[in-house]
Amino acid sequence: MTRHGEQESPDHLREIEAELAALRFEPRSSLGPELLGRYRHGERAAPAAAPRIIRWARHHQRMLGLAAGLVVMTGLAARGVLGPLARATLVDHCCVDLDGQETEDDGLLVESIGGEEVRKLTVYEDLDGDGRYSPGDRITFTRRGAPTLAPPAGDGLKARRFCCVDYDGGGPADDGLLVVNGPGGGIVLAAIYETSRAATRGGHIQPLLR
Amino acid sequence: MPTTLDNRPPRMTALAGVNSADDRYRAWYEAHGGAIYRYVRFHVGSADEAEDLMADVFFRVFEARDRYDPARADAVVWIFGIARNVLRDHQRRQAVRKHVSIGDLRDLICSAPSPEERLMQEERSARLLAATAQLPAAERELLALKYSSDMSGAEIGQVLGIKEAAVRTRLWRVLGRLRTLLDVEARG
Repeated sequence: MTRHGEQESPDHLREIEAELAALRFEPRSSLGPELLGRYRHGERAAPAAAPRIIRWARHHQRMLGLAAGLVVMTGLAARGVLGPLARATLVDHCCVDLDGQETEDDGLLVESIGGEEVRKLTVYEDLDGDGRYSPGDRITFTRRGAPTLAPPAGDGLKARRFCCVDYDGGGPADDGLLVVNGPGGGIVLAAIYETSRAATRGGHIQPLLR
Repeated sequence: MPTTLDNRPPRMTALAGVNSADDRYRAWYEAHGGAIYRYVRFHVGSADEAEDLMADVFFRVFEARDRYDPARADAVVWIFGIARNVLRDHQRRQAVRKHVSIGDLRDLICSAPSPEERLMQEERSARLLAATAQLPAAERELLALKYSSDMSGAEIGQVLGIKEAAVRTRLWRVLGRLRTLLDVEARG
């Protein structure tokens, strides 16, 4: 029996098992303190890799572009209408406290086109703690199209702004996020805006919510 | 020689008395840092690459520290879950290592008394790693968890979502396959 009280391997496998057990790597002793120092200085984990379909789409961007061009040209020939080719992006940003429950376990999925139009926006609770959306996570808010506010009855709405992240995949990390929480927590509105393109109306700066 | 694991340090499974976030990080790193490093190192080709992944693992652990629930899983199982996700992301971006050169083994613990013996041990290790790289990903993962993590079969089962008995039978099957690969290579 081994230290864990487990059954030992059959005789003919013991040699290979011993070789594997002897294969021991060791981190340099300064790595642990160094990582803590880097974390304290604001360094964070690399974002999770995009889902397979997005990576496939990126990898085959040129072919997809040609195919889309072909489709559009065919459409144009049929309808005589011109329209820009747009690229869909999906950005997954986790984890902050978006639902007002004072735990930083909420993530935001933003599906947008061409770094402009937000097609779908979803807030999820990162239940498995892997720092990104995965099938077991709970969806707490989702919307398609333009943001709308349908507040629940009663007072106590709370608006909060978060800045700045590249939520729309358009390039620089200059997008803000506006979240309105209901009286008992939860999210009644979530929308992103570009901090560099706020409109001035009546002397007040008003971000264009998307 | 059977694997008894007797010469390995005991693992911390509870964090009683650990107060500040920094203390918690230190306790987690001290208890599991070595095992996580060996685990990721088993999968990647160099110490530098392993250190980059260690940073990602422990930054994520630190970011998620308040969400860790000891009632749901032991800390080692939780941290290995995060390490597996980090590694999976990494492997999506990179091709799997197929060849290990001797120069990449500077972080290998080696008890050989002479430089010649050390070289021989490094060659054996490189040959072994190259053979494991030919195995399917799930089989390589099982070997990495078993021989790097110091986890019990039951804990490995928890990480992989399978029963302890299944861990054992799969392990023996994988070891048999690995032995065949090495035999074929030695003859060829």
